[in-house]
Amino acid sequence: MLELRDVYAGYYPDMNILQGVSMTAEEGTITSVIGTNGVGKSTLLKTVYGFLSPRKGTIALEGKSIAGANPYRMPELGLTYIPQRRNVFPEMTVEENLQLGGWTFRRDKARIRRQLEENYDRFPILRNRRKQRAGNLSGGQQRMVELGRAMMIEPRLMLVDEPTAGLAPKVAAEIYDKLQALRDEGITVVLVDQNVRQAIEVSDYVYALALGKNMAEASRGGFEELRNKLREWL
Amino acid sequence: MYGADYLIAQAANGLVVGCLYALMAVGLTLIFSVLKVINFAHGEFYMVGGYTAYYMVTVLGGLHPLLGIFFAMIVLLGLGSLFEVAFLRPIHLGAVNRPAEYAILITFGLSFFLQNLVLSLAGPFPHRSPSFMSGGLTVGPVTISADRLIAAGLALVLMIALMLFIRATWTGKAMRAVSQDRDAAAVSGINPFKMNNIAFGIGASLAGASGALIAPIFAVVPDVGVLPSLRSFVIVVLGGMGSVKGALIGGVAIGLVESLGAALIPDPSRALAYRELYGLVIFVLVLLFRPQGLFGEKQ
Amino acid sequence: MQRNILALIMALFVFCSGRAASEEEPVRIGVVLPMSPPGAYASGNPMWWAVQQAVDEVNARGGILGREVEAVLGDTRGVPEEARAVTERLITRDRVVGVVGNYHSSCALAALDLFRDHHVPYIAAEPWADDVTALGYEEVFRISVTNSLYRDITVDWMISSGFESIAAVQEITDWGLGVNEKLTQAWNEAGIRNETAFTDVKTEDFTGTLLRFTQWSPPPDMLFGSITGPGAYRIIKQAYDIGLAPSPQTVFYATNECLHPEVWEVAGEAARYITVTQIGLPPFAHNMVTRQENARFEQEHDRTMNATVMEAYDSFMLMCEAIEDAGCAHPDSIIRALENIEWKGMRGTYTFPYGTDNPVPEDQPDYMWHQWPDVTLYLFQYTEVGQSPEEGTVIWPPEWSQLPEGQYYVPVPE
Ligand SMILES: Nc1ncnc2c1ncn2[C@@H]1O[C@H](COP(=O)(O)OP(=O)(O)O)[C@@H](O)[C@H]1O
Ligand SMILES: [Mg+2]
Repeated sequence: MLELRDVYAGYYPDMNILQGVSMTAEEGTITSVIGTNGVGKSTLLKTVYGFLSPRKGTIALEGKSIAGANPYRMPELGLTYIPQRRNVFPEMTVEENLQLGGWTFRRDKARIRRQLEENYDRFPILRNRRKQRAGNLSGGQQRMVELGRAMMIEPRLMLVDEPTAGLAPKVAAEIYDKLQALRDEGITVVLVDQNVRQAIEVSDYVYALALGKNMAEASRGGFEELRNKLREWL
Repeated sequence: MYGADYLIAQAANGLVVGCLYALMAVGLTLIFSVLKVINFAHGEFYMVGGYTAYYMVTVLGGLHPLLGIFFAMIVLLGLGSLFEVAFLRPIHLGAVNRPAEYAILITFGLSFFLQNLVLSLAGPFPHRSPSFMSGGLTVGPVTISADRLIAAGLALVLMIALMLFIRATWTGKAMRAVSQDRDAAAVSGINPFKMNNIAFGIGASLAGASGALIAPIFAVVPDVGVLPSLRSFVIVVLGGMGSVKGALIGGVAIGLVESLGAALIPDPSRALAYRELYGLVIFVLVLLFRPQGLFGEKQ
Repeated sequence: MQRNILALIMALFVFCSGRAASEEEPVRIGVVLPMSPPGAYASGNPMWWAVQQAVDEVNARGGILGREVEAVLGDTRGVPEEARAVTERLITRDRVVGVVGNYHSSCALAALDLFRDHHVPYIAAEPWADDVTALGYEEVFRISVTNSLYRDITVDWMISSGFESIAAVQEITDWGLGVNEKLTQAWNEAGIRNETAFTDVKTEDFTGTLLRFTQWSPPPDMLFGSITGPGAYRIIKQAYDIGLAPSPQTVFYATNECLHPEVWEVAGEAARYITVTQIGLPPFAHNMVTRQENARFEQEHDRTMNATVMEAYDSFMLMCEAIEDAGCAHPDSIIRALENIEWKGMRGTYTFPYGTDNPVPEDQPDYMWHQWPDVTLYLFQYTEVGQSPEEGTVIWPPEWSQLPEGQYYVPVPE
């Protein structure tokens, strides 16, 4: 589904945060990217979604290059992204937030309505809160608004950055459940997480980064080995 | 000391003038909220709007003065959009090293350029558009000219239309989304550059409308926008940077404060000396005690 | 006179001899005016047009000292610091032999010591502040009125008109504050009740201020709208719209901004019956020069020259004449020539009797130094919508008044 080959990217000229990262996310799986704080996990997702342009290497979605495309073009390609920081539109209601997720097909009123309903079914708590200002919701509920907004376009690929950071364990568990449910709906998920244990648990494939480079990777069968390797390495 | 009639007359005048103040400030706050740029050329958009209406009505078209306003809005919409694409887009493309300083310099430069361009094209003498309607309305102690009433009424209509637009339409919501979280809006497929362009165009167009509305009342000269633009900054801070509702209420409030302040302070030489200063006093008080403004969000 | 001529000849001999006149170089004269915002560009621009008219005429008849004359413009933008910078630039970079102009007193005063320090002759065209000449600089001359002269003449009119109460709206500028200080003092001495409301010169809406004066009972006898720029017209319209002035009870006295025809465009019928000052001669006292130059100007610019514009023309011509008289462009010679000049311009015959050889006598005010003593002003009223200043009715001073004896203004009909 998504394939990165030898990607270099960064914020300042002559300073690459990503120094040759490669990864593949298979369709209908959860692929995790783990690593310590500051290794470039978020930078990786920003580069895939077009907020940064790769200076070298290729990024392809189903074989077609998407490197350097503008972020606002991504939904048309079936791609969506939930950044690490809080990013609901705080002054707008929950419903307005969700609606805006359907911006690309805004003229199709029926589809907007259908998608709204689907998301209220996925996240029932949002239905009750739909007239509330999104900025007033709790952290976990705001994450759900973000997930729901991302789901509006019925994405094929979803990039999620540290979805449970700062949330209570119970709420975090709920979010991981939702991600698995989305995978089961057929959506490919690329998950970036510092919470190594939890991430590995829900993933089908895991990449570990160190200093902007691939360090290790493993599929479900090799997780035990990966864990040991990581422990050793840390 | 003064009768109720007098105070009512003062308040009515403040209210009417306040609506005009508000319309200009609303454009400024809209631009700020979406682009995060303070438009120092806002007063000159107002001025160009006044001249456009004047020339459309008198020299070129012989249009009805009310149509002159419409033309002024169209011209400013175009001018604003072009300027945004050419000079402000680089900021949001990350092509500028010191975006804050650049934004100040480029809009200030535009202001200087427009003043001098109009001075050389239209000449140094003031021009007044024909009245929208002659006569006036007298209710009890209050007499207000028809021009002022029409201008204030149209300003209100335009502001309400804008509020409905940003509240209820897709484009309006997208503009709000960009103003609240640029990147998140882009993630949802909203083109933030386009929203910048629309917001700047509409903001400029509202300034142009205010200029066209005052053209029959106060007349236009190349630097007619200087004081109104200063006042707009005060109103925008008072109302909360980026809040349209705040700018509307702030504008009317400043209109009332200016006229009632002038009305009530006993010594006239002092009362009226710096009528505009009342606004500045409020400006400072707001910055000290409620920096987010009346309707702004706490950071 | 004999002595002066002798001194002049001496001066010519001393300074002009031995200086090789560079035949090719034009004679450069600096012109400082507010040409763009925030200055009074609506006055500065037509003043510059008048200077260009003068340049054309001088060059058409062969220039001065056999050389072409060139006017070098410096835009002060009405800002004192810029006036100073631009004057310095004219003197040091453009090497002008003399400077004329200025509209704002503040601008003239900010640059005044430059004329002294660089020893460059300067003729002030329109600044009114007494100090411009009262400081007694050898290089500085003035052909406009002074604040004190203006007060003396206009307050005489107000007293003769029997005004008992005066309401004033005064712009806060150096000029406005200067005039106001002099006027209020004179009003108080004359026992005229008065109140001044100060305001920013760029104010759009004076209605709140004016409404205050509607509370006077009885209403004021005179409303003084002492505002320059477009505010001068707005205040007339706004005072009229609320029924304050001009009205049967209240005379509206406006600034000479209202000499521009735009007063009709902006204020319309409200400006009928306003009183305006012209710092010059009434039309029936115009000389040949006035008529001729005015006609030329009108042909070119579609408006007549008001007194301020004439001052620009005259100050430039006067400088040219002085250089021609001096026989060379040496500052001492030009100053000597100015002190001895007797030249007929658009506004009368210019002389500067008080100077180096004839100090200001004890019984004369200090500002008479290098001041044209015959400077005059008159008051007129527009009596019909669309009139030009020349068509208005002259009401003061009595020797020029077109009103029946004992009447000092045209009242607004009930
Ligand atoms: N917007 C930015 N501008 C400049 N440097 C940044 C920016 N965001 C992150 N960085 C730097 O890039 C490196 C990687 O950051 P990030 O990708 O956020 O790490 P992670 O998500 O793995 O914790 C860090 O050194 C960080 O300081
Ligand atoms: Mg991160």
